[in-house]
Amino acid sequence: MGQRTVPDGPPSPEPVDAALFEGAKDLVHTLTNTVSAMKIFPGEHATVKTFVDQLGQKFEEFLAAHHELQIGIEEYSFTLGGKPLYTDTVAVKSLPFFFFKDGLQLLTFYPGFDRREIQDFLELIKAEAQKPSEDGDIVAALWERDFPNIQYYAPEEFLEDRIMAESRESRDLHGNPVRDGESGRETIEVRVDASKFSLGRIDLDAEDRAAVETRKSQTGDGEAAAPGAADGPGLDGSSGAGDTGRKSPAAAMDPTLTEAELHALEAMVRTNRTISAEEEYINLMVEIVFLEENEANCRATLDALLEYHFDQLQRGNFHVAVFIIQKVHELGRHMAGNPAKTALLEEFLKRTVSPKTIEAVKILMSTEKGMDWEALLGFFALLGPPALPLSADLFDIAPDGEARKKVVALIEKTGGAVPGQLASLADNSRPGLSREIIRILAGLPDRRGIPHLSAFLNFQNKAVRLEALRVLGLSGEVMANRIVAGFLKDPDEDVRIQAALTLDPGEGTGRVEQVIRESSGREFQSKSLREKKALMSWLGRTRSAAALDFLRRTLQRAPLLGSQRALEMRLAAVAGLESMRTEAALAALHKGALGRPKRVREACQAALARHPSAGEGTP
Amino acid sequence: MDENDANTQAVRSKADPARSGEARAFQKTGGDLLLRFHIVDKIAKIYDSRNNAFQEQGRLLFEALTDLIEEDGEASFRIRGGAVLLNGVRLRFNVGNYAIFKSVIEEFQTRDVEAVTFLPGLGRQELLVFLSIFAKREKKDESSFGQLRAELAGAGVGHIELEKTSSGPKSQGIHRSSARLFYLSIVHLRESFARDQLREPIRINTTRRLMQSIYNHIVDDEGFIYGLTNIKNHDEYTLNHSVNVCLLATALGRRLGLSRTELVDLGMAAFFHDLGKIDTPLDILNKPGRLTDAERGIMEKHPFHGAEKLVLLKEFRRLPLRAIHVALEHHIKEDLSGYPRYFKKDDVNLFSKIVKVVDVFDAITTRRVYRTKDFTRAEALSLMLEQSGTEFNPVILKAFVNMMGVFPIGTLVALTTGELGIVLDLNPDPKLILRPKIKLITDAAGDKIDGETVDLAERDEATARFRRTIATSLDPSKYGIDVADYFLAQAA
Repeated sequence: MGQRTVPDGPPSPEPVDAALFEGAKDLVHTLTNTVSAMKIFPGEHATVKTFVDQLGQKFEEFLAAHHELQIGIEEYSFTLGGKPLYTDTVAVKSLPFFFFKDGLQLLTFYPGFDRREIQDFLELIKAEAQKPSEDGDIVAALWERDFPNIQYYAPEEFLEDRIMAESRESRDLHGNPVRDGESGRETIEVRVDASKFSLGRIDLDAEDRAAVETRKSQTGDGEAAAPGAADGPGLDGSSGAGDTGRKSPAAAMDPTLTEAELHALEAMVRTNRTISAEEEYINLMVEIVFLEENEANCRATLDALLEYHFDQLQRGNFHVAVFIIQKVHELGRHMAGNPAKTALLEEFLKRTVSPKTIEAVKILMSTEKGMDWEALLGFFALLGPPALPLSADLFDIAPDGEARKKVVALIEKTGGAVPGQLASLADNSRPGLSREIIRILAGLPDRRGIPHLSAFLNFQNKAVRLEALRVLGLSGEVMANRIVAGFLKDPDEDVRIQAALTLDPGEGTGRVEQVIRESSGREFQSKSLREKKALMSWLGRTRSAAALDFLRRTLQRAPLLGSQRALEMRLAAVAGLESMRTEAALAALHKGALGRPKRVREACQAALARHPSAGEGTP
Repeated sequence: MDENDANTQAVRSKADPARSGEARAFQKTGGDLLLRFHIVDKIAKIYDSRNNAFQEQGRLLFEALTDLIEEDGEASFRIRGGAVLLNGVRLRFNVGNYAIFKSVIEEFQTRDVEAVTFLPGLGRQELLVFLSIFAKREKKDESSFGQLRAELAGAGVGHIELEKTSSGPKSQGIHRSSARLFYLSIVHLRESFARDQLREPIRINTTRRLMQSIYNHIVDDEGFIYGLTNIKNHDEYTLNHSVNVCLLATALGRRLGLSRTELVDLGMAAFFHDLGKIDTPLDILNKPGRLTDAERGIMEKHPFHGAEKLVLLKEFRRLPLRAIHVALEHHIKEDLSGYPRYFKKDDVNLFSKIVKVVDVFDAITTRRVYRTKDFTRAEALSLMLEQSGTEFNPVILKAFVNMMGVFPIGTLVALTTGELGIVLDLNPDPKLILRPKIKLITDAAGDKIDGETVDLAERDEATARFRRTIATSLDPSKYGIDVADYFLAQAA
């Protein structure tokens, strides 16, 4: 079904049966209303379904009664027998105009035009109407769709006029306008002087004459043909009629295809249909890049491939994006001896890691299309460490749950080899990700992530700093301890306290001396009791002689007019001695438990009560 | 399977289309019915109704029809738009049964019949009577449909309905239309090349419409379209050649069973296959002598230049992807020699194989300054067959030879009667491939005439001998004959 090239032409005006006309008119109005509704509402909307059902019913009834409906199409009208059935002069929404502009002049519907076909027809109109004007063509779409029960007529002259007009336009544009006096409408005319066909003679040369005579002698005046006999080569025992005078493979061959050949052809056609268009395109592009020697052209081709890459990402075809990268890698390996081309390929690969990737994913997610996270993450994995920043962006947009876990796993896998880069993914605005980064860094083999936790020293987010401290504390590494020591200067007291509690006592004497020295300073004095206790506790845990001496002296210092700060120092010293847990420390506590003021006394007593046994180790 | 392969599989599997088993079964039923109809029709032309072969084949046809009538309520063959529909479903042909489809369509068209419907209650004898009458009513005139119907009614055939075609027979109008389409194609391609050189968008929508129109004309006027490919414009060789390749490729693709959409894509691919020649200097393209190595190097770049141009077109997304394949691969041989040489790809696309065959055919049948001889169409086919398997895919080449015939349309032939003629159309029966329709251009004495068209399958009724037989094919350039004129005269 489709267009006939032997035109019926538009229907000649004939008197049309009134009932038929009215039925057609009603049907056409329903059609236009349905098309309008489909522009406004989605296909599943009740209004659209109602219209489509009505249209189906009307078509069924009409075609059963009248066997066909042939509608003429004029610029703004549908007609039947030359009379307007429906008119809409507003071009932008006029269905007749929509058909007319592409050259359609007749539409004929036949019995069998059922609901399914109607739906397809309506969807086709909708799809073409939504395309930009330079892309849409309802006639081309009807042709391709090839509806079994719709026939249309679009005269060839439309195409001819278009081609000639476009040709003329191009010539005008480039300074070769149609000359004055030439008709405004060019056309193609075929002219042949047929009189020459009857003039003169043709005398064959000797070779050809001989060939004719030879053949004549083989066949006589005419070949006797047994009824139904063929005279193909070899089939009647002869070499075949029409000896060309030369041993001709074509003449000798039976061109009928064998079963095996037919199957081979069918297989080729089938394979051609099942090859992935994406795979084909990518393979081709890579070959073109391989062949192209001109750098600018090569770059232009790679630009086109890159655009295709991002387009595929936007469609959610991550497996295609992966394929592109794999093929480019492959080409790069093959062209290792060509530095210029290798550089172009590397540049291409770098450009695949771009914010556009995340944009594409965001767009995809906004369309509510199901996200194939596996494929997406496979794509990111292939990009490797350069894509880590993008992976971090992905963490933000991935929904909680499985998807996010997979993103973290990807970051862990990819960033494991580049802990410095991993650490740089942490961001104050991404506390969740930052916590994950901390965990990953701490868990890297050979503790190679530990040094990079120093990046969190200056982190603004307190919870993240605390987390880093916690993890560092579990590490037991010297480097970790140094970083913890850095947190002693943290602007937040809680963090400082935590750092003091986390700091390993085996730091060495330098730290002990430093703390002892600092303790007499104003800054230390202005710290809170909690913090003083924490620091003194650390001193105590060192179990050094200097620490014992300092703590004992501090506890015993009882000025007559004791200040709050002095009191707090003595209380902090109690905490330090308690942490020390040596005999000497206990002895100092015992002494303090008998002294003044009451708070210090009670603190010592409480500390002693918490340590029923004393004397673990000696300074 | 490693990750790469797995991903490749993922890329491939998404392209795999689903086919309905029911639809396939119906297609097979339809194809078988059509074949049976064709067989019985041919037998009925030769034998009378008492003949055993006719009776037996008629019985088989009857049984098949009855099964379908029982299932569907009727069995209706309809010819529309060059296609055969069975109970409203278009039957698909392939290269193996194309001749049968064409033959049946012609049988219907000759009798001005659009549809034949077999109804419940059909009897076997009734069917045989119908077939006898239908087969023998050959000559077409204004009243033939009415007479056929009357004869059937008179013979008591009541369970078979005929519908008359709503359009008239093929007229000179269609040849004129086809010829104009040919030249329009050249205009459009010329404009496309010019626009590409100026980096302006090519009008792909128009190209697509053009391809659809070409398809329509091939369906309606296949033989004449082949005849038009005898037109050779040496001044605009690339344009003319590209149009010829487009026509022949589309026709061949249709024979191979490609869908309409595929055929439009193939047509567009063939249309633009030599786009890369825009950048090839004319003095190399038209050099009379042998090319130097450097010149050959430049020449051999035109495929990938063409592919690159297509890739970089702004309208690229609306171009069929296979157009790039064809532009790039149409000089790669079946054994993967030729040019350009891929680094990885180890196959050539089907469309490229099709275009390769028709490209070479048209090229070697066109006189060029650098070639001492151009080959006749028959010679070209023979020459190409010698390269089957190395240069050309053997099955596609054979399908092409099958399509063109041993004496392709446009071949100048000498007949055993002494007359000369030009092959105008092939006999649809593959067994009569050596008996095409010929336009006589000289009488037996050698005087030129604007003669009638004769069918070499025609037999003398008295002697049962063929009236005419081709003695040999001739080189038209030897005798100053422009074959294309004889086709264009039909369109003038």
